[in-house]
Amino acid sequence: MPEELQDPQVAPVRTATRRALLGGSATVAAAGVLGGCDAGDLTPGADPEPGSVEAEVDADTLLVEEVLSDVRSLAGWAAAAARRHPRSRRHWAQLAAMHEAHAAALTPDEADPAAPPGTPAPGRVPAAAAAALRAGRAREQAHQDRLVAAAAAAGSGRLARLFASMAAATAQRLALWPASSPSSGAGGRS
Amino acid sequence: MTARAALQTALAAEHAAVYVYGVLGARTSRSAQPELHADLTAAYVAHRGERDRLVRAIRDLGAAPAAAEPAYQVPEPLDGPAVVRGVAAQLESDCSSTWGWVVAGTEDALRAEAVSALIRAAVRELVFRGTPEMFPGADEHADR
Repeated sequence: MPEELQDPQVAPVRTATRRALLGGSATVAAAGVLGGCDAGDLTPGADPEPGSVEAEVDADTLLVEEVLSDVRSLAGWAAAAARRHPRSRRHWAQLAAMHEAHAAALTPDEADPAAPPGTPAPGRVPAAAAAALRAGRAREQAHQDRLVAAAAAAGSGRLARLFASMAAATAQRLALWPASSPSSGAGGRS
Repeated sequence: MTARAALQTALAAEHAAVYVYGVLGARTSRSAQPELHADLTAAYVAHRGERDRLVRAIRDLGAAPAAAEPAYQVPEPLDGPAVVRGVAAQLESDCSSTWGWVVAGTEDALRAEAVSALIRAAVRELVFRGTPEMFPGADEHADR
């Protein structure tokens, strides 16, 4: 298992920008029973031309901005659902916490991961708890699909991996989604 | 690291997973722990499928798929269902990390398949772990 993921070699400014987008250093967890792997540079394909690298960085920047906007909207919606439906507050609060963690991972360390002023409201939460659960589930499934697409589109391997991880986290939440309003006592894996 | 090498690493991980799930299933009583036995069996079948997909993908790249080792390390003692679940959860977590690495090291169709495999591993981990994670397969973000 490689100990470090490294992006293709780029000019220092571009490298700083790309790393700032993702924050921290990337290391791969060592496999327990699975044994070790050789460390290596995970550069997909050949080294790109400088012009295409710049375009790739710009494309990834736009991709991060799109996903970050989506994540912030979902965090706001889940937080609003938690306020509106106190009986399922724990479910919505945990979902909001996941999106907030994802937003932080996409935000440069020096920036505030919270939504900037002027960000559009996340949308109306249905008054009925069951309807809110259905609507929320549909939103999260669409979000997972977008993250999968973003992982495929990302030029940076490290960014692709982050998007894939976020999609997997969303899939886990969907697998645990309550089947109906918690007030009925139903729930569990769907 | 080439895409071929990334897939070979993933295949090595899947060979290990198939082996370990075989051991976990053999050590779990179907009558005494029917749900756990069923979960282990489903995971075993799933990893055989992942392994077979990787074998085909590697052959499509013109390479010989890495062979399985005669045996793999399994934590001992496996004394009880909680321990078995813990081993299975860690196994899936390791597989998620491996697939995350493959995502980073591949493009196009191979990356898309690696993303799907990571998601499948994360959902299987949930079966044994019971609680979701913030960043399956990307442990460097786990403290956020």
